[in-house]
Amino acid sequence: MPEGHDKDDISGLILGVSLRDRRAFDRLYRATSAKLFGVCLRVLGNRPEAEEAVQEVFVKVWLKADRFSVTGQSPMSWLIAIARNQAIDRLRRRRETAGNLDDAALGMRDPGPGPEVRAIQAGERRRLDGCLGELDGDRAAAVRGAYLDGDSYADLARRHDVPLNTMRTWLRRSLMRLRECLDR
Amino acid sequence: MSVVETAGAEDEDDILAAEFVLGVLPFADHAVLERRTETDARFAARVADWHDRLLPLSGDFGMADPAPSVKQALDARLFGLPARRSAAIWGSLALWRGLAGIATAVLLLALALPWLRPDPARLVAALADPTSGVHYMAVYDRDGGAVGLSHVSGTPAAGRDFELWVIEAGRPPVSLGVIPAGAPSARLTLDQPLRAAIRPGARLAISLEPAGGSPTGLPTGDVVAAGDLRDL
Repeated sequence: MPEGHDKDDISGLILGVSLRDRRAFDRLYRATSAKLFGVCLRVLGNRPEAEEAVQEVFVKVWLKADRFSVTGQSPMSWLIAIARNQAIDRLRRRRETAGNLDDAALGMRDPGPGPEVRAIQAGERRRLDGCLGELDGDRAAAVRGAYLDGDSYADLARRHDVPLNTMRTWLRRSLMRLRECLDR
Repeated sequence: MSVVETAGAEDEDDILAAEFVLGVLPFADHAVLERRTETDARFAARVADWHDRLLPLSGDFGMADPAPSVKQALDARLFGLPARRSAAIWGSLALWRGLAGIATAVLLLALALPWLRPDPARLVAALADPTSGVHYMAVYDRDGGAVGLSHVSGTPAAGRDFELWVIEAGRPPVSLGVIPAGAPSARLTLDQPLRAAIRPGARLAISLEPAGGSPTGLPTGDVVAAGDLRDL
């Protein structure tokens, strides 16, 4: 990933894409495809499917760029949301859990200092971790599992060996606590 | 005390937004909420807040380069480059996108030449929809109080007309007028009260209406293209 992209650069590129500027689209792809592919790879667990998914992600980016400005989201938040949605949709459709593939086999790199890392204050991460830490251990793990691995309520209930409704009650309560803590 | 059991409607919406962002709900429920994000601005804002709240977790996603063939396939699909022939539907999309690209470039150049600085007197919107293939560029001239439309692609069915609307969040659409059929460009001069609604962030939309425009004062047919106004 090229260095030197910040939030405003990425916003500007998305705006360019909304005006159908192909060079902006190419630059956006160069700046963010490794991260968005990383999202798809983590959720889907295999390269061929993740490559199809990341292609869909960028088709959506091209088609929906004009909606970015009204969401009020930060640019990486918007892009990662599209990638997670796409990957999780696929995962749901596939209806089978991905095996434990090791990072080397997937060609994963360590999360480097990409735009999202620089855009996110280290403090925000500490704050979220702190608030997750206030939840009971397995509830925080459920939030992370859903966000990072695309676990559904059904997956989480199976993993934590509780009825689905119990799982939902737990997680909903945890999300409220999390919000109270973050908005404090 | 259970937080959930004492939750009011507002909180319920906020939890639903969080569940939607996490993606934990069954597919059908998730799809219902996804449609809601497109029609309910307050709910969409809650969703955006949750995306931002949880964004720090995305630091745990690794990075990996997709194979170069991914970008080639993407370009072929979006722009019709010769990487490989794709399905016929993409051919037509590529065509209108190509036209749209040319029209956008011409329009932007035409606009940029006289005013090389940002122009606070003008707003611009690209109105497009890949499904309908309808694409217009719209420029609002604050001084003249008129919307200029440049036709890129798409025509109404015989005996019907396109009508232009402005939509502000939380309000019913307001008609800006019927778009003259078949004209490469059109200028709709707005009455004074309408002009206040034309602001950055407001949405312009084109709907398919009976000849002469909607008989009800509200859109009666499908929206065939839409886009948001932004400062030029």
